[in-house]
Amino acid sequence: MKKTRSQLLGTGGYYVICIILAIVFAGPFIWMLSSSLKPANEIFARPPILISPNASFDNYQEVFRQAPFERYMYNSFFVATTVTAVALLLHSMAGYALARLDFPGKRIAFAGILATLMIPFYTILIPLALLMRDLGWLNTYLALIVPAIPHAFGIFWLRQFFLGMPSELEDAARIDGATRVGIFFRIALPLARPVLAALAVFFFLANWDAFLWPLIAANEPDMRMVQVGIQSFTGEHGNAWELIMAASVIAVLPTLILFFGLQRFIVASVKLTGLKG
Amino acid sequence: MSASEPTAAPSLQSRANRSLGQRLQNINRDRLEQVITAYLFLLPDVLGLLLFIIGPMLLALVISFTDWRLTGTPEFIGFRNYEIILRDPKFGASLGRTIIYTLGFVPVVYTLSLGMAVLLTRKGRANFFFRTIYFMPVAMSMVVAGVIWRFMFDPGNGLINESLRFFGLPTAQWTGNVQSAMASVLIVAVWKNVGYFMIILLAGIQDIPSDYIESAQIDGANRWKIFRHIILPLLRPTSFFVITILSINALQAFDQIYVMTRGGPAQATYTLVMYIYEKAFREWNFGYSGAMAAVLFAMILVLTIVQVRYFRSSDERQ
Amino acid sequence: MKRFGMLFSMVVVLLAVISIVPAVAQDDALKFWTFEYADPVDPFFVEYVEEWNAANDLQVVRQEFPWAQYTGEILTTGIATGEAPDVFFISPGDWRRYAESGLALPLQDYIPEYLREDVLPASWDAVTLNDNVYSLPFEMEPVVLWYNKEMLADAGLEVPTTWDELLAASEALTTEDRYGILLPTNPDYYQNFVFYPFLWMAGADVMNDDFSAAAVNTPETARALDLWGTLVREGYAAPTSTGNDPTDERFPTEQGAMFVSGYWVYGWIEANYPEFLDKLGVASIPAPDEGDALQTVYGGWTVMVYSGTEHPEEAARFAIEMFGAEDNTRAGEWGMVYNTKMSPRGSVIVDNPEFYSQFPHDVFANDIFPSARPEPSYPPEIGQSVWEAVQDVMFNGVSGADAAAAWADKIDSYLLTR
Repeated sequence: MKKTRSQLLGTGGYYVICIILAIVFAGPFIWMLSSSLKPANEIFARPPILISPNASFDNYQEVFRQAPFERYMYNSFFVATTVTAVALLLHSMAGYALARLDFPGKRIAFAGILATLMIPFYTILIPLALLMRDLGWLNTYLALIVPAIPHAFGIFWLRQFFLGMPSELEDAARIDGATRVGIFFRIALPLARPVLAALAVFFFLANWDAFLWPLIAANEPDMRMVQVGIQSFTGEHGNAWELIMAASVIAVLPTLILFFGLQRFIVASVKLTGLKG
Repeated sequence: MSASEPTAAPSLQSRANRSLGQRLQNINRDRLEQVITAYLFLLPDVLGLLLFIIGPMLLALVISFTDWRLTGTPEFIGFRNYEIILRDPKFGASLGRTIIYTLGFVPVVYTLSLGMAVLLTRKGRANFFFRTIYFMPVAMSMVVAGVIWRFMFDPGNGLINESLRFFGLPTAQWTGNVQSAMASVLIVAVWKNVGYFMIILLAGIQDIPSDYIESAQIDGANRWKIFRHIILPLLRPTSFFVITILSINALQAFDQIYVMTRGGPAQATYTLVMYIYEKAFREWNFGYSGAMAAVLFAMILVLTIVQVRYFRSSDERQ
Repeated sequence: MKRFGMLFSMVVVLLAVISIVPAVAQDDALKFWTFEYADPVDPFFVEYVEEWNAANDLQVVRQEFPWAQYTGEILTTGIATGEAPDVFFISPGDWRRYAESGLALPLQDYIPEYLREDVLPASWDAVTLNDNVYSLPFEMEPVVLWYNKEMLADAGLEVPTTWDELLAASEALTTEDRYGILLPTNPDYYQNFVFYPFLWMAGADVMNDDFSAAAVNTPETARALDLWGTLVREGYAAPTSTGNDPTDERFPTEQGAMFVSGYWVYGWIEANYPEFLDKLGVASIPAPDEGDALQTVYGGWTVMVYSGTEHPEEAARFAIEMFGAEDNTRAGEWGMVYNTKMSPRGSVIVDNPEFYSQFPHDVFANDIFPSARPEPSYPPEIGQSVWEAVQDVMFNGVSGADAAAAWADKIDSYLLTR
């Protein structure tokens, strides 16, 4: 009897914590959503108007009327999916090599890869732009896609993941005559599914929302990506917050949908075959 | 670090080989296959990083030994930019604030995201819902989040102070005061990042073989013991990753603070990367900016090496 | 192994694509860069560029960039990579650096006589260095004191005309729900810009006449700094903004009673808060004491021609005709139709008496305009020293006198390194 009550209290307390956190985390998002439906003069009104009597989708229409926003979304989508697909493959290969294979120069390779995270992007912005110019890539998808692919974050994470992978599975496959490449594709990659699902969300998000680099690398109107497009609603005197909010709601949806769809892979509770049993 | 980490090789050798000659031959063949596979696997990423990051980094390093103001040819001046850094009070001050920010950011984000990941580990509709909610700030653009937080932080009648007043709690000046500005930007940075690192830790927890936890439960271990003695130790590789990434991000903090305060009030939230940015893109002093970036790089490198050592040595102890 | 083959061919294809894609062909055209203008302003440029392209062989391609990154990242990277535009807009804050670095084409030889006479002498001075005219002024945006008529009337207050009255009014208008006054709070060029009129009216200036030393270590500077410091410390002025100091949304949403900002506020309110227009009042920024001369600052971008342009003649002509054609219609429409700005060309006010007799344009034409002085252009290091002093009195509790002394030290030590 006593135990049930304390369990009940525990569950209740658990949900109270979750809900309080949810209010803090979702609050600004709801504010954004609500603002995107309001006319400009209500966004900063005091007391705040949560559900405006003048609510409408006018701002959304205006976003697409003022800018070829569908084109920006296409660009972002194309760049983000391409980078994500290629990066997932290349990074898991690199991460696997760093974690499970023995080769000369391994420490140097890992340290060098990690070191690429330690420099502010502003410092390499101009050298990178010079490189793009020399390659003739400015204002092409290549400039948006190729430099975005190599990134130590994914390599590092996948390496950490593969380090913890039980070696018994590999050993068994080795005895059956599998090659390293075969082991990677048939054993390691499927095991890495939670990490790959999470990385897919992260890579997509990072590239979908990329701003500074696309701004420099491809500034022609047709080549713009979503965040650059949203910035076009800011101006010399005042920002069109109602349009920025509406455009940001549109911009946030693909990432949230992707997260929604891939979450069950991230939290898949894969039951690994016991190490000793 | 490779030496202390498990690879598949040793156990394989012991099982598959008998005679010395055959063993050597097999080791050689196995080793060759490993080396070739590893190089092939690393090639595309390493090439990309060399070309698009390390190359530009080296160029920036070269520029840091020159006086280059965007126009004209860079003039080689040896270590002069580095000497100036030593005497530049603004460098020290912005570095100090960056370190304070890092000391606040890393432990808070790690603890919170770990706590949330553990709370939300199990499947279930409610957890699915809450995870999505906690991920929302990650997907929001920082510019929009920034304006909303600024409005909520308004010391006069912002939502936060209004709520505090409603509950009879003391209010604060938030970003409008040098004492509380850093804490305010930290709140927003934590809010923005926790969901991201929660996902990473969640994926790490999924990787823990569930029979470990089950057998501990059979042995009568309570939740805290399971967390302390099974989850936490087995999560080490992920924790190492999260803490390293958090530290690197925090030491390069820019966007999240810039949209909140522009480094103000009175430079209370002015970080080192803001200084690096302004020296380059506002003042066109690329040599000095590059020199500061190189110093920051060196500091992050040292910190990361310390972290690697710490995680490795405590792994060995276990 | 099959999968590996797939992967391998993918990499090969990728490399092939990379090598095949040709370098973008560089058309021989004039590149014209501006920051992004709001949708209603855009047709101004579209029409002018079309007009030019129809009449000239050398075509113009216009590109817009986000406001916040335009001068920092965009122009800087453009110059570094040799992709710099032939013609571009430049802010007063950056003007001097471009002129001193040899990036600007001297324009005096291209400027027609009528334009030389039409544009205010002060506006020419602001774009002239060592007798070279490095850019063309085309707009003026003076800073004023906007106020909420209703709030002042309810409090039984007259519009303040001295600093004592400004302090008293700010105090009286501050309530639990609103600030008495809204000033820029972000440490940036814009804060300097709004602070200059206070500094100048107190009788101080940043630099001496020949730019050889700081002029700020005076009691007058301290007085101007202390005014801003007091307003914030006493809680009359907001210590933060919603993010945009030039258009603080709290003014038209009645969370602030007075607002020190520019001419553009009118156009912004007209477009976004039309219901507020009835309550909108405007006056000159108060002078320190009764009888002191009123003074304000005007900002405004100018148009610059890149010294490295391959077509200096055409680029200069394109830049001049945009706002400087003999027929001043376009120059006038820029400020009266597309924006809320004034033209530095005197003929615009003369030729549009009807427009300049309406509120608030009449106040600007008659009262503000004569007392306005262009925003000075300082090197970034000096610009920074201005807002550091202002921030110190506003937020660090530093006295005006101490802040002025530290400010002078920063400028002088910078001048030593030049």
